[in-house]
Amino acid sequence: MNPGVLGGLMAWLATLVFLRRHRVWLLFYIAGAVGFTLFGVYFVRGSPVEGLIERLTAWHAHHLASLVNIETRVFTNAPGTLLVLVVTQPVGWTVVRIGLECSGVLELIVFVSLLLFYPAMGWLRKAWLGTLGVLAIYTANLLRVLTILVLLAWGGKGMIFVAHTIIARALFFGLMLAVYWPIFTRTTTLLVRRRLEG
Amino acid sequence: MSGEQVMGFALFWGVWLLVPLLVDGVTALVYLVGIWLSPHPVRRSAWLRSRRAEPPPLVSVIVPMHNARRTLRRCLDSLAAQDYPPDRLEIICVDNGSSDDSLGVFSHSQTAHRSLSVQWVSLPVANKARALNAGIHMARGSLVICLDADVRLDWQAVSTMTGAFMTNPGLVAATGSVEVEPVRDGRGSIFTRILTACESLEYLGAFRVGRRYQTLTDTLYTLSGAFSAFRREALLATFLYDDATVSEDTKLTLDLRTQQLASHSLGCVDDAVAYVEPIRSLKALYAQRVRWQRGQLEVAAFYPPRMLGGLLRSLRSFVGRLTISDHTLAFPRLVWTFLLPFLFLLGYPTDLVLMAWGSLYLCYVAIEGLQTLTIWAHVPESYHRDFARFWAVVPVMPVYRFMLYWFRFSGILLTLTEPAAWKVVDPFTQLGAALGGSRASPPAATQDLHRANRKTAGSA
Repeated sequence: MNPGVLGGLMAWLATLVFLRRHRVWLLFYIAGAVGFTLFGVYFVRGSPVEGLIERLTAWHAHHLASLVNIETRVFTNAPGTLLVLVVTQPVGWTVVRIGLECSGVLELIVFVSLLLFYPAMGWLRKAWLGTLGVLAIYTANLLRVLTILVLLAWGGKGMIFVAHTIIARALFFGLMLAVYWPIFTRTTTLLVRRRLEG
Repeated sequence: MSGEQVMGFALFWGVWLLVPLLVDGVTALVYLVGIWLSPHPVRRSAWLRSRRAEPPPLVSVIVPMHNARRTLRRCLDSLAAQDYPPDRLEIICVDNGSSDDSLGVFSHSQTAHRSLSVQWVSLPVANKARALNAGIHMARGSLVICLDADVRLDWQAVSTMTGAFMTNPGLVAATGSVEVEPVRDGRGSIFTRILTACESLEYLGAFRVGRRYQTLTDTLYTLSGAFSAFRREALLATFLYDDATVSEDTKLTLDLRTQQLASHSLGCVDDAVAYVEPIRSLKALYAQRVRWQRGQLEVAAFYPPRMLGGLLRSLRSFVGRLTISDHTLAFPRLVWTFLLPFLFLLGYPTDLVLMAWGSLYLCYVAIEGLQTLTIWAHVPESYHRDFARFWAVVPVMPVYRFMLYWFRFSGILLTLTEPAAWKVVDPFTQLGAALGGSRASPPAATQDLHRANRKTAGSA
């Protein structure tokens, strides 16, 4: 590991211990969640984990698209790249690269980092809620990719900006809200209620 | 670099910051349209014309206080200056556990305003909710006004509020408009003046526009603890103020909502004005917003459980929508605020990232401009003379609201980790004390509010 990164990691951990010990909760949470995200992105970027998620997403999207009669191909030599057959005029293939933007990797890291340092629940609860959340976000992202494929296949290549940046993103945002709400908000209000009643 | 690229980047990665913006923007638009389309009720003049025919109702004003020596005189003087007949006004000051000379101030004021009916009640414990409830049980008036001791009433506030109830038999409870006391020019540092202008604009928006819109759509969330009025019988049909939460005013509002008949309503009488002193420092602002956030979470937790039964059900309830906006959306916003500037590390051009940030800021300024325009259109013309200072802080308002977001986020964390407190130490003071090796780096809370219930003022 790069000595600078190792030093940064140690300094970050020391800062977290210090802030936690002195109960400076806001700074602890910001340092924890943001630091974990930045280190997470650093370690996952270009790693086999990122490649695996991208390939898995492409593979799942490929099979699910066939269920709605959208023809796709997965590149053998670049498994994170999908070919989508656009059926409108002019008929042809469009390359969809499942990269950083479409793999949901960043959103997964952000979610895990927010949950990891949230002082509302124990580690066991965090573990299973985290697992559920990761699976849910992966599924939500898959739905986002499928939405892009459907809009591309039926609407043509000109749809790419609207499909990718607006419609699919809005759908993903709504689905993420459905993940964040029970895990963060509902858990919090139930906990607060228990404390007030107890 | 094309505009489409910047827009694409801002829309795609900035979505977590854009959605709160959209919520604010859409709300501002809805307020603008809704309020311009609705006629302003002419309550006071109609009632004043007719009030010669019948005697005005007896109004009981309850003033809970805890160590209010500094502000009580101003509050009682403003009550004495009302244009309401003094023989139809009874004032009940309920001290709860004061250790200062509030009683001396009260006695002096009683001597100075002999025409007023003023009573003093003393409770041994510091508990605002209990003080209010004691006052309510003592009140003889058909209309009960609850007033914080650090508030100054406008000279027409009581008659305006009473007029609203007299002309609308369906109205069972109403909040007045709480505004920040106008500051004389040239006082305080530039920073303090900007902070005060931002706070004043925020209050004007919250009461003159926000609560009025909530009245029109029957979604009023809080009858302000600082200045609200109730029909006594409606109040006595509830469990009164509940000291289990630090937002007893919001809890009572929601209790009233669930208990009232369909023909009854809650509202905002925005031309009945009470003034609060401007916040003195960022530390005080921090403590206030942390307390409000705690109260909001506690009330959301208390609200009938079916509201929390599902996201879709929450979206249908205005309390649920508020919780989603202030709690659920706050989480991703926290990380993305810091992550977005670092996306150049992932291969995005720095110019693109900077321009996207600039675009987001400009959008926020535009929304603030729209909100300020809505306020300007709705406040009485007398406010327009002093409006230049509000226009001047429009570009600062996004920064002010962003700061409040962090204060409130801290409130979320402190609700989960520390007991409720009236005084809260801000994280930088805590950090400074911790770095200095001081043992006086308290865990944010210095006093347990739920146990001691040491409260003197309600949330706006």
